[in-house]
Amino acid sequence: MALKHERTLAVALPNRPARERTARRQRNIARIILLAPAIIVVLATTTYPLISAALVSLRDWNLTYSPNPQAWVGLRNYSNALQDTSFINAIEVTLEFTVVSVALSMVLALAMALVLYKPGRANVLTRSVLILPFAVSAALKGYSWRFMLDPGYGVYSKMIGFLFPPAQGYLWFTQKSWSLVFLAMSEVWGWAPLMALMFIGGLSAISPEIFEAARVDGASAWTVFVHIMLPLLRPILFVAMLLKIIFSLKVFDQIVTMTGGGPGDSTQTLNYYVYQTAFRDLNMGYASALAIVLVIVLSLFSFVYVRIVIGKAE
Amino acid sequence: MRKWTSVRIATVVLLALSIWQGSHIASAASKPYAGTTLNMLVCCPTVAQFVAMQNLTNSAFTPQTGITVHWDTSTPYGSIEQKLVTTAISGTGEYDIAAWPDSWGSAIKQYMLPLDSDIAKAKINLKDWPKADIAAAKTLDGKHIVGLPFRGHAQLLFYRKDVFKKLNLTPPATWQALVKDAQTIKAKTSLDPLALYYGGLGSGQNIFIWLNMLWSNGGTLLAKNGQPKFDSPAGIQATQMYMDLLHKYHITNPSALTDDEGTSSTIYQKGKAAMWIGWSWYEELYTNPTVSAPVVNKNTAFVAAPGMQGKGRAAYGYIWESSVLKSSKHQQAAVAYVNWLTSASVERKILLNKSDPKTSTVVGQHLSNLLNPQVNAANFGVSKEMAAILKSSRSEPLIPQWLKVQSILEVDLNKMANGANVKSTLAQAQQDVAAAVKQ
Repeated sequence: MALKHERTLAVALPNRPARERTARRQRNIARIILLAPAIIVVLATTTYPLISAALVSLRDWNLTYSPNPQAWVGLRNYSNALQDTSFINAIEVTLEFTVVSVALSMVLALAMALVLYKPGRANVLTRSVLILPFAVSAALKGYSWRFMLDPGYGVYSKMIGFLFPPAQGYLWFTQKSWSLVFLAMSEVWGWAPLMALMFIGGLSAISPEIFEAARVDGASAWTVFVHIMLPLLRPILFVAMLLKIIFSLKVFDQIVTMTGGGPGDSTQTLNYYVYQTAFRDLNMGYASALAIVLVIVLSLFSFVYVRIVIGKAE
Repeated sequence: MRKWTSVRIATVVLLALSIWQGSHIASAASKPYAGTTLNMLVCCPTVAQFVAMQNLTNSAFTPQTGITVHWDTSTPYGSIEQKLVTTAISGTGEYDIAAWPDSWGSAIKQYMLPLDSDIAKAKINLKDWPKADIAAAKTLDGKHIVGLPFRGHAQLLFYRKDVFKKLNLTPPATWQALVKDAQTIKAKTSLDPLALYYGGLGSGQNIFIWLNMLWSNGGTLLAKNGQPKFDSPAGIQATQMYMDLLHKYHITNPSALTDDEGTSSTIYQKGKAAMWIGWSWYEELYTNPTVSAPVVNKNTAFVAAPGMQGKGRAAYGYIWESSVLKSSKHQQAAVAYVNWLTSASVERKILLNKSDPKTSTVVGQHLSNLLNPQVNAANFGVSKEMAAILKSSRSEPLIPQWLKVQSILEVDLNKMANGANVKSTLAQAQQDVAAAVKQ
């Protein structure tokens, strides 16, 4: 019996690395097979269009004159962008919109989270309803807000007129500042509740003992908020802010449906300008260059965001 | 006897077979494209003319030819430009026929099938259309016709005759007279004197009224060498007049600054304004009791859009062509349909059919129809007014860069309406248009 066992071991031992290699290879093949559909989809829908756009951005191509890309022009499309006042205006508008919408979303979301993070039936119910505005499509948000701000029949317009009679019948979309504010508000309306839910998650994770200890030490509510809550929430605040920045930088739908980029071109964001250049001016080479600029900016923020999220996971 | 009976039966069977075969051959000859399905790209599902055309296609063209035509009207007007361009350029063959407004067509004419030989073969009388209609249908080098006109409008001033009668006013022939009438209306009624539009960004609608004033004032958008020339004394004066209606005379509806053509028309349609300026097809809305206020329905009248004082009116037309796409897999069937669709007889049938408000339209293009007394009697006389304007009308410039030029102009006109200085903004616009044209 002992002899048989030894013989088995003698046979098995030299084959063990080979078996492990085979198993590892099989595992790798299985991984590749499982990942392949996702990789193919990403390559086809993201990588290929991105490379294609990058190549087109180096060529002269206006669809009015040719269905195919024309001569290679190097970085001319990029250098043209630096002299294009509409492009510079679009960058300014995008930054203004981003600052306003991110700041408003963060502040409102934090306020909502502070009100709703404590347990309670009403709070739980409110939290579950909070996600609804985020589920509304951006284009629909734009139409709704435009409708609601119409001086003739808009409910917001009437409410503002009731509260501030001098603003009765005011045309909100004839001023750049108001147009931007209401564009940002339409964005905040959807985003603040979602961010509030993220913050509620963060606040719930903080041990109640910390708050109790602070109160025992005589800390005021403000001190608790500034010195305990905010520092402990910082990672979530940062992630939420990055996410909001990324989405604000690529805002498009509300611009189309609320202001059309107006008054004049004062709410024309970068993404909207890329669209106009590609599908109204039909200048595909130049539009691709502008799109690549936008991609680079978004990639920077996305890179930081992914680093933080993966870092936290690890 | 039995032998003769067999011969008789055989003869009858042969006769029946030959008749069946003959009719089959005749049917194949008269319906060479039977079984074909064509896809047509056009906008606006509720436009009465389009609904009428679809109905007539189904009831007359399809039984006659065996060709089924599917009208894709799902794209709204504001997006049809992009859809047209991407459809034409991608060349997937998804659509066989496309309908397009004159100035947008210049960017896509290279993707449309030349129709010259088919027009000659079908003996289509091109002189039955206004000259501008045919000019818009030609390729950029003017050598080929790539479309046939099937829809077009003249710019008209619609007004409430009850209000004008009550205030003892006459419909204005000039912008200056319009301002005077509007001031009287403003002083004596609660109506907005003039529903107007400075918005419509994305579809160039605020260019319509400006072009009328520019041309009427003797100004030019593009000179013969293709260079912009609107930053001229005549251009500045016309532009100033357009802005003055809003800022100096305050005779427009309050929301004119952001309204587009459709929204401002709704203000007139609901009986809240005394005048509106726009395309002739709106007459069918104002006379449709299901969509317009009764007071508008009963009291709408029209004249040609006003011109500048002492300069005469500018005849301004807006024409839609229908074309066969080069990428169509059923080109000959599509040509047969376009020929039928744009024929004077089909147009007349539609113009005379007033059985349903949903299909009742005043839109026609054939001069023989527009001047026809029966057609005019059925269409409130709008047809002869259209004929008078369209006979000598001009369209927006037919240049390939028009979409870019349109973007520049609509944004700058909107800026001026929002308070930007007319002189400097117009100068900047001219520079930007010059760069776009050069490109």
